[in-house]
Amino acid sequence: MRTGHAGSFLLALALLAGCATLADTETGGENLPNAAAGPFRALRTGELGNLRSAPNALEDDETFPRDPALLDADGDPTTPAVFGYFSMTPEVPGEDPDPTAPPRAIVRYGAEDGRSFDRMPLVVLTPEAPWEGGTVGAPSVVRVGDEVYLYYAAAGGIGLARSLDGGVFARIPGPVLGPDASGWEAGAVPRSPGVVVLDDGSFRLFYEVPGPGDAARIGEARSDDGITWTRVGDGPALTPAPAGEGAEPPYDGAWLGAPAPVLVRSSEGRPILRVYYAARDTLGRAVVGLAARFDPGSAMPLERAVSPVFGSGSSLGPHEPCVLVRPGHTLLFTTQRAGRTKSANYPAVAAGVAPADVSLPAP
Amino acid sequence: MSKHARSLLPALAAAWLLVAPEARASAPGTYGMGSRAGALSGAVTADAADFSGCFYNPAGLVSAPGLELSLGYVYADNRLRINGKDNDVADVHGLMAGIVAPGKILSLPFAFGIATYIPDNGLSRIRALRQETPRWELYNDRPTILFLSVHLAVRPLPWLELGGGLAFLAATRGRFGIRGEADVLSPYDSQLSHEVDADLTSIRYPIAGARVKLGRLGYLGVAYRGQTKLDLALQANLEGIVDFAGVDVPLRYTLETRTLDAFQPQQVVLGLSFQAVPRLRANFDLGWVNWSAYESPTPRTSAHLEAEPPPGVGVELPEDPKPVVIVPPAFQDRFVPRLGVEYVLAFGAERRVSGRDAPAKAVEIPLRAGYAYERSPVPPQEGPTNFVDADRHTISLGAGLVLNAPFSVLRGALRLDTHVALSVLPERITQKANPADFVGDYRADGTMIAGGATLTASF
Repeated sequence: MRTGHAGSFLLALALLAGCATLADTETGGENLPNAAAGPFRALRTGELGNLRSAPNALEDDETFPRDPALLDADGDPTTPAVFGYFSMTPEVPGEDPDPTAPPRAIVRYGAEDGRSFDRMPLVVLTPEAPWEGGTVGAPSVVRVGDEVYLYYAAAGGIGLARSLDGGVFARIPGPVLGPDASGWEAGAVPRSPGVVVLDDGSFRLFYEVPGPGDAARIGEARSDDGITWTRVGDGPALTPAPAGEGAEPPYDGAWLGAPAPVLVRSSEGRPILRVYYAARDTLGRAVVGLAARFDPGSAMPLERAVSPVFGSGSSLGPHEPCVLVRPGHTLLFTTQRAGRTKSANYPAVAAGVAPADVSLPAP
Repeated sequence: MSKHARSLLPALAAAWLLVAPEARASAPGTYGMGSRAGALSGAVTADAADFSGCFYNPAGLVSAPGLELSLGYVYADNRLRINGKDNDVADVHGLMAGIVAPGKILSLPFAFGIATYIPDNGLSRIRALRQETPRWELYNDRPTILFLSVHLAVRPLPWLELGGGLAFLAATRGRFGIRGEADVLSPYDSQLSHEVDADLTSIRYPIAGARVKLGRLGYLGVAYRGQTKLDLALQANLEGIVDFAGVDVPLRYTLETRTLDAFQPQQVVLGLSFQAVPRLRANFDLGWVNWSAYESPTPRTSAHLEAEPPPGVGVELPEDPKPVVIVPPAFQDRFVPRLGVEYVLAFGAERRVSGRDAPAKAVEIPLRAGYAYERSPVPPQEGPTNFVDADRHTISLGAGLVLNAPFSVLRGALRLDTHVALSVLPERITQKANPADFVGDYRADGTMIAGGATLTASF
């Protein structure tokens, strides 16, 4: 008798248990923290307007605008509009466009959505001074009070031009940072500047120093006014990573340069100076790397991220990066080949975003 | 008796001061096995004579008053947050059931027990995440795994009960392969053969315990739960020729991945149950959890693609994924204290109840409360890993309704137990050592509300 009732109870249990195996959807991955420092995914179709073809936010097979630098159009990071400053090679009547020719102008494009550049370039700087050697490029722009400072690379070093409207620039005579024969730079011409204004109003300049051999390193200088610069330390701020014990060579083991500094704060309010840079490993593979330090105004060494932030596994050779920090995400712009086909073998400006799962507002 | 109790108080106090927390494992370990144990915050190592003994201490099964069938349901609402935003960690819900069948063999009291937890959102869920990906490591997948255990218990001496058995999980090893020729432009003309070979392997781990009767004071119990983990291995091979409009491209792709999940550390729990005062039980458990043996769940994956595209075709083959350097999780062993109190109100006429020595009132209402503190075993996540966790304080309440010998066919009791438990995970701040960390600093906190009911028929 008892056994019979127990059997009924067991049957009820089995029937209930049989209903209990529906699959659940994946959970636990909502609202995860992300420093929006990288890795960046390339922008996709639909994320760029102005008839731009993702991921290329800017592409011109005649003047080859490249080497981007971004400036918030109104100084308010909550509004999307930006100005982009680029190196370019003006067309020469009667000559075929040469994507390998040195840049001979800096142009400005606008992007209302912060990433899709218009088709109305404004030439803001061309080589004039003898020390520039007929080339200006690799711009870096910062807003200083009511002015816009435009740093650029030229044959004799790094120059500065200033503007009140971001369109008409007046040069500071001579390079603001020239070669230094006495130190570790061994007289190499600094190039590819990246400038950031710290919270105390002082300036930090990171720049590429070619050598030794085919390598390059990144140097650092400080300034109180953005005009007079003093080199920081007696060595590079960042050098190619030594080969480790792993089978894979370090992603920046052969060459690094084209620094692009940016000031951010962690979610706990700790100030961080990030320096994005172009890198190559000993196999010639190019990526964009990241190094950073707390206490931006200090001389603390830069610490590398654990992996590249853009370009891994790609043959497009990204270099000359710059970033635009927005609430909740960061946009990366970098020069790389316009495409993988033979006809697209010229520089264009590709765009990426971090975190990778962010949904960008419509262009 | 009270003298003995007083003499134990300093030891209890010392233990309380030394503690630093126990273990979360499967759903029974995290939310309790059965509503009675849940209401006592799991402090039943010396006081589990029902099916919950299959998890907490199988030795107690031999004290079951008679054949018992239990069926219950538990629901846990997890609200775990990072930087104040809910991470949608899965709620945990499922059936709990068990049978305890006591008897005698040659005058030796023994009992057989079986218990199970069956999640009703899938029997098992395993995810393999990169070690940098933030995840609530101890709460997201681990409780969503089927638990089954089978035990035997004996009472060789009037004051000694021993029990032990096995608990089961399922692991997966699999391989699949695809061979043949694929026509890109005419997929239906493709000729492919595939084979799948998968094994579901049962993973067994021991649970054992002992219970000593301390005269009229109550019981002293000790239990051991063994270490276990789920091992998922997958091997895939794709080999064949892809026809691109008449151009044959030989292609070969291999993938091997292996991951561990649901690691449950071994643990030893010492429990006391004071039963000197009629209808009152005060339980105290102190568990040691070997979290330092925790193994990283990060998948070890290797993949390789070989293809021979025709010359001049601009096809770029992806690089093989770089081998992952797995950072040891470095979890830390923890002590976990649990406290539970039960008081039984009794009403009605006295009745003889099957399995009980003395007559009992017709209706009994047990009232229960408990507290547990589980200090996080996860070290500060200053490096690249992001095993998110926080300390956990759990306060539980419960009540029951016991109808003694309610029907002529049920000479034992019909018992309905309910419980609710609130767990609070205080905010824990993570600050990264590397300013270039991709995840950055964050704060984690949360609450969990669990509740359930268990119906037990004692024959």
